[in-house]
Amino acid sequence: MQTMVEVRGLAKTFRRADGTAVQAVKGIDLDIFKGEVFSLLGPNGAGKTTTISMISGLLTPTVGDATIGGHSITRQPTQAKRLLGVVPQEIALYPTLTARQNLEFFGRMYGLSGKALATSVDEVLEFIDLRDRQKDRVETFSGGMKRRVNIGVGLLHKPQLVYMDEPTVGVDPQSRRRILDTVMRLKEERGMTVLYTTHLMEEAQELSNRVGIIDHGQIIAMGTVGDLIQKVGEEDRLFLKVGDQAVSDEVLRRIQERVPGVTRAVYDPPGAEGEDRSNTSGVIIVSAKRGRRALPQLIQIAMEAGIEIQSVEVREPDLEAVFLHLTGRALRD
Amino acid sequence: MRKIWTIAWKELYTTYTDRNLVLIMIATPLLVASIIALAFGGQGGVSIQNIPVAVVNLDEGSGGQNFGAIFVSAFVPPAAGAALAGQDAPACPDAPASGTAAGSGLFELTDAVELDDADAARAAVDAGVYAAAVIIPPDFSRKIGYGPGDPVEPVSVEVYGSSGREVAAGIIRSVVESISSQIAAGHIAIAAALETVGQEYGMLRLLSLANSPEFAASAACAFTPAYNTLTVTQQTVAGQRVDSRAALLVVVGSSQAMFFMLFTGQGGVFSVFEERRQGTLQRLIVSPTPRLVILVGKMVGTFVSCVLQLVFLFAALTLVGSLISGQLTLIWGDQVLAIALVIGAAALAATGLGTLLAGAARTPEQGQIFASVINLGLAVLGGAFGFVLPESVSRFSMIWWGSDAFRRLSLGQADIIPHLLVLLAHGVILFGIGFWLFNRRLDI
Ligand SMILES: Nc1ncnc2c1ncn2[C@@H]1O[C@H](COP(=O)(O)OP(=O)(O)OP(=O)(O)O)[C@@H](O)[C@H]1O
Ligand SMILES: [Mg+2]
Repeated sequence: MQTMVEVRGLAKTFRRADGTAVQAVKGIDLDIFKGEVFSLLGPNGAGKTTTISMISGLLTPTVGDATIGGHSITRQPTQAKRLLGVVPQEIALYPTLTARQNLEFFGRMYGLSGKALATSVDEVLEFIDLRDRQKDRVETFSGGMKRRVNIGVGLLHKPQLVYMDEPTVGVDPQSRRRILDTVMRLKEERGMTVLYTTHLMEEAQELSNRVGIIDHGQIIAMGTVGDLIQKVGEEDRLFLKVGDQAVSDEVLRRIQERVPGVTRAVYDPPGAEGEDRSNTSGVIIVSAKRGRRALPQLIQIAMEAGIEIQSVEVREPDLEAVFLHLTGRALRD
Repeated sequence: MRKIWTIAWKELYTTYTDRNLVLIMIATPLLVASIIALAFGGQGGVSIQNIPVAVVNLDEGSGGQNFGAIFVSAFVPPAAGAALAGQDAPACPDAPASGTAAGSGLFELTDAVELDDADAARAAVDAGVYAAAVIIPPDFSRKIGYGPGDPVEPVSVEVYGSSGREVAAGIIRSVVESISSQIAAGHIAIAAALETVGQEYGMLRLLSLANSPEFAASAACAFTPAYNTLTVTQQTVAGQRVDSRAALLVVVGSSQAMFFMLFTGQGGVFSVFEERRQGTLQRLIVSPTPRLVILVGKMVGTFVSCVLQLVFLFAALTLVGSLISGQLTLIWGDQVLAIALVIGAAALAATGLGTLLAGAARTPEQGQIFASVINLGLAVLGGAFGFVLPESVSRFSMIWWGSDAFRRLSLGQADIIPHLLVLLAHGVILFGIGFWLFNRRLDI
């Protein structure tokens, strides 16, 4: 497999105004292969944007280097940047220019001109489905439409690699679906390599060939979704909703000791920041090898303790579980 | 490099499609200058009336001719005037038939009295009795009444302005300037006409010829209130027609243009901060475009924006001037190349100042504060608010250098080389330092 991006020992330390240092990225090694979708998955503040900014040449690394298509971003920035299309996290467009003018301006910045530029702009407008609104100022667009233009700018010069930094943040479900489909089309129809960052495990799971999980500025696990799930031993998680009934440690201890296959049982009281965020009810979270089989016994123990279970949810292993397993914290804060 | 022009063009496009910005850049200074010019009580215009002025004529005369008296007669109505009293109204061939003292705009504009004691007049200004005192020095006629071969000596009429009434004092000052230039122009024209005569008579002093009835008559025609000083036009040395209201439009218009251009220069460069906030600067940086190109493109855009602002403004003021005088009047003079050079140098200085401030400021807010303070300071020093400051102080302001150069050009003078050099030096030095500071800040 051909390598598109090679990241070695990349680190960034920011210096705050008060003089203290923030180690946002602490030495990352990473390879991204041609034609794959690679996701960087991590919670807010993990260092995703900082990493990607160094790869794209926006930030100068404190230590380390990255190459795109063999060109070092620190030593041959112009060559490296030519191969890269950028879709930043925040919408980065000129509000008073029309969609078409924005595309044309940035197209010129990538060295396009004349007929090639016009063709390219037309293609992109087609691709992001905004042909009929191309003559309108971007400031009159809806959030979802702006997002689409924001993506379009990154595709103008038909880059080999396109990075998208949390492109679905603050987008309605319909637009979000559209963006995810776009990513798949870029990979499948155009053979582009995509570097995608997100804090949503569903997105990483759906899109990626491979995922790097990043936390506190370090990659803590990397591989295909299947590989990563293997790591947590294919455990299911059971969520037993108990309302505002108290759950004693004794109950949790009994679950862990008496039910076969259970590796962990924790109680998440109502209102607390827990794994289940829509948490108006207390939840007992049980990790178990074969979750469904353990269910009858769990209910039995609860009844013995006088706890009435209001509902049960079984979740198959996912990247969320991997993150929980690796860090002891939930992916979403 | 093509990308520089792409960025510069985008700057211009976004600037000039922003209606509010154009309003501030062009409409506001245009309005300010026009209102002040119209304040001279043209038909139906806004008028400032009865500015109290003291005129002190210390002129001892020369060769029987007292040029200082012209000022007295221009400001003080004949009934109260002493200088030309007793003379019959001269027969002026091209004076309006109904031209009487009642028609003089200046008499409505001012409420002038003649005093004998300069110190007393200054004290009265300080005490607030008068908005300004016009003091003609004892050697005024002697110095101005030169003939061929005589050394040209500088001579100045003092306008002592009240610090509490800057606008009024500024108006008086510009009226005096316009009269002075008319005296000089009228005298030179007559002196030149008489030169041939002088050669015929060998030793004949032109000074006494200046005292000839022809000269006295034509000077009196040009400057008597009956002729209405404010609308009279005189041949200048360059053979160009100058109108006092147009002259005021030039003085006020050019300093306002310079003042407002400072904001354009800063706004243009400061838009980098805005671009950083909206993320487009980051987009530019991750494109295969060197940072230097981004920076230079921005500055070229800002520079052209400043140039366009001045060009639009000057064109609009020409229109206003022409409307006021009822005929096409090139109020800026006809030295197009020199005007273009001064515009370019001034725009460079403004862009340089913007670059320096953007480079020096840590945050855009801080930059805006720096900019406001500096712009107001330069405006006060440079006379954009009508303050009458000594030239030695005004020289610290690029506004003065620019507007003084435009004023000179409008009078048909050509001695603007120092102005050009000073503005260029401003531009180059500010630009250099700013560029260096700024380039470091771009490293986000
Ligand atoms: N310019 C900066 N100066 C100081 N600290 C910074 C700067 N940029 C980022 N950081 C810090 O670096 C850490 C990583 O930030 P980064 O933006 O890379 O996170 P992220 O993974 O992209 O988060 P999110 O999902 O919220 O976008 C954070 O703690 C952040 O506060
Ligand atoms: Mg981020």
